[in-house]
Amino acid sequence: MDLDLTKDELEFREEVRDFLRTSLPDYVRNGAKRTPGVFVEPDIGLVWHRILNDKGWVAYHWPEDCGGTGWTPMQRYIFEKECAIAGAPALSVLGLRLVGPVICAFGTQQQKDRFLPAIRAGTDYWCQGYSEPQSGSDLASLRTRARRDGDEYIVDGSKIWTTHAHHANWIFCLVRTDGEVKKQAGISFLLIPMDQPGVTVTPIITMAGDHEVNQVFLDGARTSVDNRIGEEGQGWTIAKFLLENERGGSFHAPRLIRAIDHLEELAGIAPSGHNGSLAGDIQIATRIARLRLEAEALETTELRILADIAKGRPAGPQTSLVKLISSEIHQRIDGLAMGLHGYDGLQLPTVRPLYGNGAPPPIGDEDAQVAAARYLNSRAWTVFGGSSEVQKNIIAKTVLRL
Amino acid sequence: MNFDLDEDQQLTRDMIGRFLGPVDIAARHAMRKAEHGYPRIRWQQIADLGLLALAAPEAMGGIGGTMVDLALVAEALGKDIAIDPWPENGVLPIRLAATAGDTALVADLVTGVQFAAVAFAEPARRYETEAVSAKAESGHVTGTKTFVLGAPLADTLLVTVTGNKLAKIAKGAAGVIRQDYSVIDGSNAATIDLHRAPADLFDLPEAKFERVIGDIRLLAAAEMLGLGQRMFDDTLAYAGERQQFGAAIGSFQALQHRLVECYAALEQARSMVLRTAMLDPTTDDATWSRIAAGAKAFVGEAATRIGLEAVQMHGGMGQTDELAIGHALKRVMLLDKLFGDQDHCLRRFARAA
Repeated sequence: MDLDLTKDELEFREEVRDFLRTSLPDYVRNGAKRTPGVFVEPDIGLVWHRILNDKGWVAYHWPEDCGGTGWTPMQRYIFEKECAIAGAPALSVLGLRLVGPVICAFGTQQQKDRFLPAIRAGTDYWCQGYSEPQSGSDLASLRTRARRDGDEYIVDGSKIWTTHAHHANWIFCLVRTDGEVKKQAGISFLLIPMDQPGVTVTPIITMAGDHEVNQVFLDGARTSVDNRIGEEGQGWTIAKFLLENERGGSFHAPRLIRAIDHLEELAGIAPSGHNGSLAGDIQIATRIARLRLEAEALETTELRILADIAKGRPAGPQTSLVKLISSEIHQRIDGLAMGLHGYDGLQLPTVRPLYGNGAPPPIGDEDAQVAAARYLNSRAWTVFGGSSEVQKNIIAKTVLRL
Repeated sequence: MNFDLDEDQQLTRDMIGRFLGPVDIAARHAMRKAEHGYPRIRWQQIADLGLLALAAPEAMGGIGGTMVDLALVAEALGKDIAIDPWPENGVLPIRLAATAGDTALVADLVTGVQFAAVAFAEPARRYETEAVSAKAESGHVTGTKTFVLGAPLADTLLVTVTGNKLAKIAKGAAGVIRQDYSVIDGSNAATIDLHRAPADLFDLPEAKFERVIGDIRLLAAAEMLGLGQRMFDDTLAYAGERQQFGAAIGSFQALQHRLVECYAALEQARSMVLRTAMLDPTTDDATWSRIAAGAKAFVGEAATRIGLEAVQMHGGMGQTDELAIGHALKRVMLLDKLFGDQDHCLRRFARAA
C-alpha cells in the first residue's frame, strides 16, 4: 500500500502543469471563477473544450478506440487535480461524460462515427432528457412516449431540468416505447435533434436568477430509428450505466480541496470587524478545518475507488457514496464562503454574466458578488443526478443489502 | 399566564393577511421592477394600515405598540413573504428618530410622507455597529457606509457617526455618492460615500442604540418565524401531494422524521420569539440587546434549516424562482445576517451572559 507517484506519473504531472500554464487563457479562468451557476456557459466552456481537443485531451476518459487517451486511472486523477488547481472550468458533462461513454459502450460503429467526433470537437452540444415533471426520483415511471412511423420515431412528452437545452442541438432521451411491460423494461434511449418544429424549450430560472435549466416539450418530435442507442427496451440498462458515470465519472475532491484552499485565503483577507482578519476567528478556522478533513478523506475514498477500477474491480454503487458526500461538502463550502463576506455576501446581482463588460461593479471583494448566487445554486448539488435521498436508498439497498 | 392574542392583535394580523393576500410570484416580480426595487406607493399603504405608527411612542403621535404587538406584525409579514422592508426601513428609522427626539421626522415617517434608510454598517467592519469611518465635523459628515438597505428610495438617510452621534442627511444633499446594488431578497441597497455632506446631528448614546438594535433583532427573528412557518406549511402540503414510487413522498419515513424535526424547530422558534417579546418591558437596555441577539441566532438557525429542508424536499422545483419557498429563504438569509449573523449574535449572547 502506498500513495507515491511513480517517476512516469511525476513526469506526466509536469507535462500537464506546463500545458495548463501555457494554454489556459486568463479570461476562461476568470469566467469560471465568476460563474455562480453549477455549469459554465458555452462561451467559456467551449473555448477550453476546444483547446483540450486540439491537444487530444478532451475525451481522455473514453476508450482509446473512441478517441480516448489511454491514460491510466492515476493519470486521469493527476490531470483533473491539476486542472482544479489551475482553476480551469469544469466542462459540460453532457456530451463528454454522459452520452459520449454511452455511445462508446452501446453504439454501433455508424453511430460512433457520426456522434463521437462532433462531441470531441465541440460542434455538437448535448442536453439530457431524463427527468419529467411527474418523474423525478422515480425516474422509471417516465411517460414520454415514442412510437414507430416507418424509419422514424415520433416522440411526445416533456422533459424537465434540462441543463443547457437552450444551447443544445441534440438531446438524449429516455422514452417509453412499450407501455405493456414492467416499467423499466419498456424504456429506450433515443438521440433527438433539437432543431425541429416538434421541440420547444422553455427556460426555468433558478432562485439565484440564473438560466441553466429548462423544460423541453416534445410534440410529435421526430428522430431516425438509426438514432436509437441499443435495442428497444434496453434504455434502463443504458440509463443506469450513464447515471453511474454522472455520479462517479469524475473526481470531486480536487475541486473541493481547491475551494477549501480558497476559503482559507478568503478568511485571511476578510475583516473580522474588530481584530484583524477572520483567519483568527476560531469558529471559522475550525469549520474550514473540518471541511478540509472531510475533503481529504473523500480524496482517499476516491483514490480507493480508482485503485479498484485500475485492478478491474467495478466501482458500481460506490459512486453513490462519493456523490452523496461531495454534494454536501460543496454546499457547506459555498455556505461558509458566503458567510465570510458578511453583508457583502448578501448582494445578488440580477444581470448575467458576471464576467466581461456587462457586469456591475462588485461591492467589496469581487468574490462577494457571486457568493450568494453560488450558495443558492449550490442547493442543486443534492438534487441533480439523483437526490441525496436516492443515493442513500441505493447504498442501503445495494451496498448494505437492507 | 396567557398566550392568546387579544382582539386588537387578532384584527391587526387579519388585516395584514388581507393586505398581502396569497403569495403571487408574478406580482412580486412586477413590484421588484418598480424604480429602486419597491413601489413607493405601497409604503404609503403600509403607513395607512397603521403599521408604522405602531412602532412610534404615543408621545410622538404614534400608537406605542408593545414588543409583542410588533413581533406579531413581523411574523404576519413573514408568513405571507411581504416584500415590504418594515423592520429595516420602518421600525428602525422610527425608533432612531424617536430616540434622537426628532418629533417632526417621526411624524413624517409614521405617516409615510418620508421614507428613511439607516446607514449603520461600514466596510471592513463586518457586523460591528460602532461607527469608525463616518465622522462629523461642524455639521458635515465624511466617511463610507455600506449595506444601506432601501437607500435608493430614501428621502432621508440616518447615518451613525463616531462619538455616539446620529446624522440626518436629506435626499440630494451635496457630498453624497451612492452606489446602488441588488440584494438577496430582491430589494435594493447602496454603498454610500460621504464627503462633507451637510447633516443635522443628534446624540445617540450607545445604550439607546443597543436597545433599538435589540428591537430590530427581535423583529427579524419574528419575521423569520413567519417565513419559517410558510416554508414549513408549503413543504408539508407538497409532501402530501407529490407522488413518486406510487405514493405520496410524505409517506416515506425518511422524510417524515425530517419534517417532524422542522416542526419541532418551528415550535421552539415560536416560543423563543414570544418569550423574548414578553420580556421586553421588564428588561434594561443592555440585557435586552443581549437576549434579543440570542433569540435572533436561535430563530435564524431554525428558519434557515427549515428553508434548506423545504428546498431539498421540493426537489428540482425547490431550486426555481417559481415557488414561494425560495423567496422566503432569500428573505431569511438577509434577516439572519441583519445586525449580526448567528455566530455574532450567539457570541453577543454568550459574552454578556
